[in-house]
Amino acid sequence: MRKRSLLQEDRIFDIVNMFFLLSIITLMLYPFINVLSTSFSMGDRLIREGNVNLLPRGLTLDAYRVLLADRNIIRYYLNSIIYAVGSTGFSLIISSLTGYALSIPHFFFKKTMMILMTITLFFGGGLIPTYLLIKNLHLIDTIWVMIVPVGLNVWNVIIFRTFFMQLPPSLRESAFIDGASDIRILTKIILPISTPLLATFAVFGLVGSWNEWFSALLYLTDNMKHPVQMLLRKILISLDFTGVNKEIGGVLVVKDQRTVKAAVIIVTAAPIVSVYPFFQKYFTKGILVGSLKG
Amino acid sequence: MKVLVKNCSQQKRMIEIKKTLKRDKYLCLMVLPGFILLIVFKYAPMYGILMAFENYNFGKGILGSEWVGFLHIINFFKDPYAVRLIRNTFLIGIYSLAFGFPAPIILALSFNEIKNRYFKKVTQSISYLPYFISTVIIIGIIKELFAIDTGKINDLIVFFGGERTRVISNPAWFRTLYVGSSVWQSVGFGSIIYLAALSGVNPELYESAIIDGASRLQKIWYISISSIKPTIVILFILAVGGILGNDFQKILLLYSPLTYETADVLSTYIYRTGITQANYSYSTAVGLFFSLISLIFLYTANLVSRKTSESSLW
Repeated sequence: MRKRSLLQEDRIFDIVNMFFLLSIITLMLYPFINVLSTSFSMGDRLIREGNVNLLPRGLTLDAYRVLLADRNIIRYYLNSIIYAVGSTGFSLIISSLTGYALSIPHFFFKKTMMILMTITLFFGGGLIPTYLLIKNLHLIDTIWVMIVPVGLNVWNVIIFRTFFMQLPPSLRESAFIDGASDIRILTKIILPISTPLLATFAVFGLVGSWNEWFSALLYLTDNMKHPVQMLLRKILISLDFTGVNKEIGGVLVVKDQRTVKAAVIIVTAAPIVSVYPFFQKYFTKGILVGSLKG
Repeated sequence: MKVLVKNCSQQKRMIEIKKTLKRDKYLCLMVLPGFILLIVFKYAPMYGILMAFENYNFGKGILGSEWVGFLHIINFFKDPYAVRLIRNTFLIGIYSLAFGFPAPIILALSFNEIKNRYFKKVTQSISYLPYFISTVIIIGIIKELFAIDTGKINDLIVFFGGERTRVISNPAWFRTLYVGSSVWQSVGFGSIIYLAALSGVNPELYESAIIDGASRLQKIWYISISSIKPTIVILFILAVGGILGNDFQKILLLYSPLTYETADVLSTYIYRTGITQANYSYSTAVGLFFSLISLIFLYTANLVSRKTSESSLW
């Protein structure tokens, strides 16, 4: 008797659990579906019939056409790519180099550097001193301000260091015997082994800098240097549509701002979402490497 | 004789140092760029904290500006908004913790109980996705959804017989929107670490529990949760330590002067007074005060964890 009710309870639990997860998934997916459909909708039908429920109201590429007619959007996209690749590449090089050097037991500067770095994890200059420093360094309104200052990511250095320390010392020793220098060992032996870690950091770095908007707001005054997130912010938050023509060839194409807003969201999120399936396996494993060993 | 000995040992030292430098020369080169970045971008601004105690004048620089000591800090406490700012900072932090901390744990437990591997994988993948979407997009979506005239949520409210209400510009709704969107964004991603811990639980424990006649819920409570307790504790300590560190960028995007009553926090105030109003000294002073309280929280949280469990940050 006990057994049967337990079995029933098990099944009920499973069903409830499944519904719970299904509703969570719907909650996560629905905003995207809504936005996607809105971007393909016809403005006047939106006004007449109300918001998209699931499917687009009418099917048109007008919103996208308006976006692409704005010559600047290509510029913003390019900027985002430059900043993302530049800052992530730069940061990876610096972090792995530093992490490696700090993992060598006999390195005399090891302890000092570790202490200096860990202090910055808990205490920092703050927004204004950093801003004024950038100003004094004449980095305001240059592309370098988006690439250089973030170069030393202390967490990454620490994780790299831990990872390198876990490698068998015989790797280094045998290379030394064969006459290799520190740099040679790093490039030919250590780095190839660390590709999962590098890939994970690359993924997080690229996504992070693609989504970065605040530094651009603070430090970039020239519109031409803005990343795509700044355009997003303009359109979605400040509701500033200047520069985004709703007309093509003199004909009013977009009847409702909502379609353009939706299109710009899709266009900005698309790179991340489309690459997502590929990098997903990296970060699930990568986090574990970092957390278990860190 | 003494002079000779001193020179000898000094010379020995010099040779030692030279040898170390020669041996580690490539390592020094490797560390150099990171070191420079550290000094320039992390330590140089710390020197700028001195501005908090001066009437900083951009032309005169830090050394040339007039020293005023604690004037700015005292002015801050006299500011009628100070209480509101501190209160908001704390409340947002507490609400975020109260809802944002259990959510990933519950989700991880839920994932763990799914038997169909395909369903599990698909739902997990979907749940991680919001984490990678930028804050600007998320706030943009929220502004669309909750818009008073065209928003979907208001449509639903009307559908159920209610009236169109102001949500975005309503201070009463701010915390809900903020915490809700934060949980939506990070619950999937946050569940990864708990799921990893759960997968390490010995399956024999579950089997013996079944033999003892445990129900599903009992199994979850007594085995799953207890096994990941160390993970939960240490993440909780970290979370409490960082309770004042709210997502200032999200607040900056979501708030407006209409919602300052509940939305304005210390970090947004620092941003406004410092960047928008160029009141550098005052802003730095408030920032310093804020950093110090955060440090105290982190330190206390670590102390508590050291006393109560074996896990701690240092």
